[in-house]
Amino acid sequence: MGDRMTRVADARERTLTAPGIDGERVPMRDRSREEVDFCIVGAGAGGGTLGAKLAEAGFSVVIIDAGPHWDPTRDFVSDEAASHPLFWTDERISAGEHPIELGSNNSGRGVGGSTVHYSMIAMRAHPDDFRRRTILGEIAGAELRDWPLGYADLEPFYEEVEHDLQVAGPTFYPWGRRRKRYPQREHDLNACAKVLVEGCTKLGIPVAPAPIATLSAPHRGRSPCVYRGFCNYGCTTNAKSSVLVTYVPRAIRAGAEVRPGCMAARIEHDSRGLATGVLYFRADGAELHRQRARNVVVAGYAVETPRLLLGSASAMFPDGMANSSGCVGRCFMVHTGDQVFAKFPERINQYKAPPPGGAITEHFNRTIPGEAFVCGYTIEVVGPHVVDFASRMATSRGLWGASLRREMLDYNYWSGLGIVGEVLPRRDNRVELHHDERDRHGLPIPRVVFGYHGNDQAIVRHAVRQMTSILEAAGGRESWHADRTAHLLGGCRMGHDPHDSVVDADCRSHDVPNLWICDGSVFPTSAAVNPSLTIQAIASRTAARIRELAARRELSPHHGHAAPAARIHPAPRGTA
Amino acid sequence: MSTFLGWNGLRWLNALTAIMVLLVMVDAFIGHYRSGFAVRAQYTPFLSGGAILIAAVLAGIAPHEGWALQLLLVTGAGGVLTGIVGAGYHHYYGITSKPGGYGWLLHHLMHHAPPLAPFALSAVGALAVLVATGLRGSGAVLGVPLRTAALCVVAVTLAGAALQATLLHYRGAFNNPLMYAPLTTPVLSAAAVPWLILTRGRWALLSVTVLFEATFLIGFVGLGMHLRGFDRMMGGLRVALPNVLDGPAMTAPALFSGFAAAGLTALYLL
Amino acid sequence: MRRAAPLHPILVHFTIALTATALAFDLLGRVLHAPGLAVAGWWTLAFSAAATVPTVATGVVSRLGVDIGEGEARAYLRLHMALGPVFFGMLVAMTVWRAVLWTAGREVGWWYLAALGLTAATMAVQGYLGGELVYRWGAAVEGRHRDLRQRHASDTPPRPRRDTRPEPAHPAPGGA
Repeated sequence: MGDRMTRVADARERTLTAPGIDGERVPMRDRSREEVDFCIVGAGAGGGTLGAKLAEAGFSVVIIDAGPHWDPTRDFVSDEAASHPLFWTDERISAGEHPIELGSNNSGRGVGGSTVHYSMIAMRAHPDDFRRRTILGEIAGAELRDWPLGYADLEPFYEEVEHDLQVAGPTFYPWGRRRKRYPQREHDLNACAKVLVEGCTKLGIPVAPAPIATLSAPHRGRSPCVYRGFCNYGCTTNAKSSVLVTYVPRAIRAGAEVRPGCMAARIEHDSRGLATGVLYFRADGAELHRQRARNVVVAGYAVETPRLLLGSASAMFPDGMANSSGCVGRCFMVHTGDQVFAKFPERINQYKAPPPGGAITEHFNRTIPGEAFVCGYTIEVVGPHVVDFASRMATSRGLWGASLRREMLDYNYWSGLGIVGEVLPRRDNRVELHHDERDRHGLPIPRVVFGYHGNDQAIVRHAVRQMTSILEAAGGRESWHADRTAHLLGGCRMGHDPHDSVVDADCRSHDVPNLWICDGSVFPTSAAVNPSLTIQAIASRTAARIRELAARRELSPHHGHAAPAARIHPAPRGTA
Repeated sequence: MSTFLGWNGLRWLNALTAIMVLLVMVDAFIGHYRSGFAVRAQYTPFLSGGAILIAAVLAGIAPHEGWALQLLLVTGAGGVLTGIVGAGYHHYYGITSKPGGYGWLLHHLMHHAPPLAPFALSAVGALAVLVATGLRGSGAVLGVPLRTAALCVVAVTLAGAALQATLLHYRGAFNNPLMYAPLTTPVLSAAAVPWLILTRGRWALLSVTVLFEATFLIGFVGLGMHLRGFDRMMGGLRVALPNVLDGPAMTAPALFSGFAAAGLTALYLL
Repeated sequence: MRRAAPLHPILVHFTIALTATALAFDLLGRVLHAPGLAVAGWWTLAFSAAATVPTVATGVVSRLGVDIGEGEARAYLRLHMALGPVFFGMLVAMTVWRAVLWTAGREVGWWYLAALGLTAATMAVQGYLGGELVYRWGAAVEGRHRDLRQRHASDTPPRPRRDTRPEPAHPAPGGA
């Protein structure tokens, strides 16, 4: 790659504009010629949040993202099929004992990342989720590790992110550590959520309103949710607190440049082993561009982050950057996301309102006494739209043609539940570079190898039984089960030991002190809750730690060198 | 009994009753239309309220006709009763019969039939009864002097309305500081009325007067802010129907003004 | 119903003129101690309160027809909508106060005049907001209102942030 022509992206500084959230264009700094303090790869839950906080702290920031910068008022449509550009559908090879589906269920494309199409469930992990190894000990076939940080470390940042997103949640949430009230009140229930509440009430299972990162009351210029129901295909009303409408505008306002359509190719480093910037392809060209940076943050999620690190291998880092531990790409995890559907005598209209419906039960999110498995799962409401639902009918029940058509006529009478089930980390589950397949830029495509631990499957069996009985208690019939996965996690786990983890608790890589990783790939264990809030809390914490380190002059890795990085200073520049 | 612009206190109260029963019906219609008139009893507030409105108009035109006053008395009592029964309905359909039942009490209180709203009709009905009794020449209702009775109705209504408003403003997460307004002078004036009734002191009278006047103005602030609230919903008043149905209660804040005005009328004209 | 919208700009003239005139009558009446002016003050204010009922009502109705995106113009509109009923409430209260003085045959006091002045000032703000909505943002102006969003964007030209930091000392690496 080195012999290819590289150049600085733009010859002359221009004033850029970016889509605002109300259809207007907002002015944006052009930082392509600068050596910025931070170049962040990926503008999703991790990168977008971190970018906003760093820019507001006075650092110069460029966030590059492979996809487009969506204009929520124009680019999102009420059409499932037309919404496919929202998902990361680049070629990937899925392999292993249980190859997983990659795409609409777990990865997003474009500024805002997966938060543009996520279901907005904003849950905190529980104190025990951070200490799996201590609590459960060694489990054969799994590589459990404690997190290098605990719930108490993240709690203030959970609170901060919940406030920034204006999470609408219940006044009293029955599970987890006692907490402050959510910034906004819970939404009303849709019919699917009423099914969950009714079934759980009949069976004596505690159930509560779900915390959802969607406005239930006006906030600043954004209107509350109108229950349109296309949350998984991009929110046109800005009620959804995706990173696209929350942190990204803040980042731009604070002087960051968000550069869409840039596919990172490799991280460059100097002779001292410090990162110096990122080489990337523009979506429209074959030539490489360079963004110089004093720090590089990789926030590409659990497949693309290891891919970029592995793809940045060099003579100095033959196994890929930050990979002296051999952990990059290892212990890759998903969440089991199995769903059960049942038919009801009355209309449900499962597409209405945000898919989480408004109710949730974490009753089984614990090691259940008397069962042959450890850890647990959360039961949530799901509401797939027509095409999605039909494909599930086809793949799970083997319906096709006339029989599928007949069943789909009753689409409005089906109601479903789904789980977020904990998956144990296994060393063999991994992301690696394919040995000869290349994408359109000539970069090796990732190969994702996955297989369940026996414990994961035992959790799913228990969950399917519970969900079926809940649906039946509420009056549902003809239930069936669709196996599914959601959320990608791990691959660059955090830890104290440089030989056993990729980054430390601050998300700073052990090997390259000015290389950071800030996304779901740093999770050592998966925790049976939706991960986005935890990713964002970690990003906020990382931003706070970077400010602290900068204030103590410990950010610069160039001890004694008169190198550019020494110029990093967190002086506020009056634009917060 | 003194007069103001040619009308005595009872006739002014009668006029306020007519205006307020209209306001109550507007909000009841929005709420009941939103739930699709799924229960036939949801029509009763309009039968009862409509009867009070007609009776109040007739009593306004013919304040000395026995039949008009008799009609006002009967429809007013009917309004009181409808409100009480309505609260029972709101409780049953809004909480008891909903999934989760009392386990989800706070959720149901915020999101379903407003538990105290039907009492607004009771309050207006009570004013109608009071006006009819007074115009027929009696100086007391159930043994309580008219002025005291009117002040009690006003105080209880303001307190209840403040409670209901607080519940709904809590649902809106108090997203604007002015949403705390119902907790200020309406509650204080409701608290100051017993002080006035028990002591009849000059300071008590002054306090209640000022508080009522402030509550009168706050009601209009609420009206304006609710109008603005519709506009903070998706599409604003440009898409009027859904936002009026789902947004803040359209005329509810005006009830604070109306009852404060009734209180001032009772203070100075009865 | 939206046909009623153009009535709002007509009716506001009655409200504005009558309220302002009432203030002038009462002020002059107080200064000159002229009972004739005081009578005029009372009636003008009473007519103003009566005329403002349709003004507010048509105002709400005309909002239904304005297509206006989120932004600065919308903020003007929201304030205008919130302030309307507040001004009306003040006007009604002032009318009652004026009626009490009139029926008692008393001359208006300075407190009253100050309160009426405040009411008129609120009305002036309200009128200013309404004027801006029409003349600056083109709200409800046929043929123009579709451009509101673009007008908003072009009204605030892109302004790059000032960077006080020196440019990197060394030349850009890897130049073509």
